[in-house]
Amino acid sequence: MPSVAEPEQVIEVRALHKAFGGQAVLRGVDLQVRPGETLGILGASGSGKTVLLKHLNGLLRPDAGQVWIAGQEITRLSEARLGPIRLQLGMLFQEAALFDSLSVGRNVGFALYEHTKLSREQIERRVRDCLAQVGLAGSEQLRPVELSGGMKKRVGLARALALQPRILLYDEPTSGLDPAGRAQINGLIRRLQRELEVTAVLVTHDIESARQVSDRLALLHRGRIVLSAPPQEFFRSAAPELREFWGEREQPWNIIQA
Amino acid sequence: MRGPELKAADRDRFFARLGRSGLGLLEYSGGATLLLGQTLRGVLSSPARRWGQALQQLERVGWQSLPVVAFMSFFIGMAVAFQISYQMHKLAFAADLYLPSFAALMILREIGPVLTGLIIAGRVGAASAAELGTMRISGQIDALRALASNPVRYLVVPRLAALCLGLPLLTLYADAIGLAGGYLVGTTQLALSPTLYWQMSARLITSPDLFTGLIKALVFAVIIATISSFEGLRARGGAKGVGRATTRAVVISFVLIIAADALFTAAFYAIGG
Repeated sequence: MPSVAEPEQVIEVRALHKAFGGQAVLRGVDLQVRPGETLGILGASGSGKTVLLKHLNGLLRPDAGQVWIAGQEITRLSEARLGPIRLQLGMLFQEAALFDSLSVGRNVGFALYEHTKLSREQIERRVRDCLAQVGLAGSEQLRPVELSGGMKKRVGLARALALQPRILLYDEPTSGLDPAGRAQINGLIRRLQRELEVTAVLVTHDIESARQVSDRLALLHRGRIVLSAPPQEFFRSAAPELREFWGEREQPWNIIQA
Repeated sequence: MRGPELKAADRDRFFARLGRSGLGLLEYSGGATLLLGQTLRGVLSSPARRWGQALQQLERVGWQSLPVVAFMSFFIGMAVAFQISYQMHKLAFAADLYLPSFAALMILREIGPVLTGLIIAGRVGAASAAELGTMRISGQIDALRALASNPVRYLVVPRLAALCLGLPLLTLYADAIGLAGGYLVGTTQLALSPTLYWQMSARLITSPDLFTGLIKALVFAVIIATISSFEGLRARGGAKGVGRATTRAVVISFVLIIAADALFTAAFYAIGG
């Protein structure tokens, strides 16, 4: 658990607003993440979870509001200035977003080849370690099209880990996986927290996964964070927005997904 | 009968639509120009390893396009020779003597660069737009940015470099084969002596005509690289969106190539090139 004595936030979001084509998605999101903490953000499909996550590494620019990463405000930085900050943030994309023209090994080592002066041997060693960490040792030569959904996500995770980021962003890490795959990813996320002590933000509508891996849960509802508490407390809350979100689970689509 | 109010409403709608498409056009050309500017800046500051990617693209632009460019240039060269000879005979002077230089002029200045540009826009521009579009909709462009790489430098710069090198070279190749097509017609069908035919066209090959054609090819390369990348990078809406981007990349490249060709031809003659 993060120390309470040290109030510095690794991630801080203030009054974030974002609309697409006149449709407001985020309407004033406030959020803090402490060092070493894993924050799980829950929300219905289409509630703007991914949009929120993409603001944390500057993939999207807000209409209003601020995003602070390790004490630096990033919303007005140029793409070039965002580079060094992005190297500290690993991101696992929803569909993994592997580069399908490159081998698994090249995918994982991508940022190392592009942004470090490490030798080829050093990079290959690091790639081997990262793939071993996600249980895919020896898969360097495979192409992304040869992988199953769960393997793609694990390669995506290895790619995010290659630069030893201080912060990890997970976009729906368990969506589209079978129960074994979900358990595997949840186990991996927990192990990374323990071993690497990274700060993490995870957005998902998979309540069980969020409960298992998060130190704190937040509910994104109609463009705002309406509830934020440790898991035990979170699920005891009587907030009407939470009941509405639970209700969404009863929809056939969500039962199929669960 | 329609009342005057209705006509006024029609007129307003017409102007609104005109205004919207005008704005759209401005936005489009602004966006494409911006991309070209970023790409040119990227060319200047690219690390050496980008050349490997440019070479890979060059293989697609150049090597793999050789057969189709050869076929089309050869047959067009023959057709041009027949047309010129036929038209000149109608003018009733001993015209076959002029065939070699006219055919060479047509091929070097117009047909070589334009035909090659269109083939490459259809082959390479389409493939490029589809590839970048797929990367965009599957999140790979975002993934590049999240890994602190600049998609323009990583993806567009090598494509532009490969096209700017490959298209003029391919045009030279198309010119040579087109001239060979004309030569075949001239020496077999029209009984010109091979030596004479060769002498008449060789004079032109050292002239500005060849150079003019290669400058055009370079401009077409910039058009194809910019439009196909721009369309690919802004694709949205799944597989359908990628298809749309690909079609637009080809159609817009075609239109711009033909328009640029006309403008350049006019400009070259105006300045006496």
